[in-house]
Amino acid sequence: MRCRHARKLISQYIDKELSSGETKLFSAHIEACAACRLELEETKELSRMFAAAERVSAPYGFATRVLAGIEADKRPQNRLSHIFRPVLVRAAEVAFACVIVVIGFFSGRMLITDSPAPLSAAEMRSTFHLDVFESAPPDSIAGAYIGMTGVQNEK
Amino acid sequence: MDDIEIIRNFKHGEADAFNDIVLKYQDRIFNLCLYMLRDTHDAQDAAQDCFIKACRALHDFSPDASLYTWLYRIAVNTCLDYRRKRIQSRMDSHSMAEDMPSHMPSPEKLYESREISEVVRTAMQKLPEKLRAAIVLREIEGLSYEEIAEIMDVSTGTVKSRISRSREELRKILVRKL
Repeated sequence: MRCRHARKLISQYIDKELSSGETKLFSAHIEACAACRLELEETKELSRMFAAAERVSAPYGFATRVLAGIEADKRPQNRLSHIFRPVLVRAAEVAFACVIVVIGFFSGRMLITDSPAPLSAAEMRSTFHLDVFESAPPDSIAGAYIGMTGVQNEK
Repeated sequence: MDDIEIIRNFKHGEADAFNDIVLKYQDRIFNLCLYMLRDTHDAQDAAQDCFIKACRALHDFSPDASLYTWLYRIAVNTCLDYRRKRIQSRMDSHSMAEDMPSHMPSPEKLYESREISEVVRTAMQKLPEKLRAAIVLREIEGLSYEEIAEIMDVSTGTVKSRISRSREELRKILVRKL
């Protein structure tokens, strides 16, 4: 038996799943091969660790919680609500979105009707002049600046 | 009371019949879920889901089959679903001490076995799900290859291969670690 084949049989050897013929061949190989023997020992150690590992009991109250869960699962209204809840939630979301869109539409229309009439081209141009400097008092910073730079309105 | 009698009582509408099943199998199912999922709270949720699914389906259960392999199959599939759905990012912050087992071994034994089981459980998280399920059923639950094949719905050849690969992977992980 070759090492590659022997290593594939280690797990089944531990579980006593090999035939008697396979077991004899495997045992003979293990006797002769130190590397496979080491691997067998390490795998056996793993099984010993599993055997020593803690078996945990269900926590206190677990059975009570399970039975309460089963009772809740049996109630017909719960099953119906479980089935229909996603549909109802989705319908509410759609209705809410529609309301928001309608409110947005009407409030937008209200803004449009209440807004002042658009400026004419001449009115628009009149906003570009520099009359704003005229209102600056002479003792203010703006007035001092105008005085220093000697800016003249073209008006 | 044996399983066949419990199932018969359940099918005849005895209200408490399922309680007997929960009480009889809760430790084994919870333990299986804990080794599969590692997190105590996830294991509780998965074990509870397993029993609820079993209760829903028990009317269709054939008495020819074994109840515990059937329950194990539900539990393994539930755990596989849990792992697929949840990215296990949160740490195991809920210590085992929070949910004290009902049958306590001696403190020394408990400490030693907890340390070992923690090492084993941590190593097992690195295994693919199906390999983990096979090794837990074999090493923790002590089931035969045939029973595992029935639970996992695969051939015994596949079970042999999965258990062998699991041991090989775990041996490499633990040799590096220890």
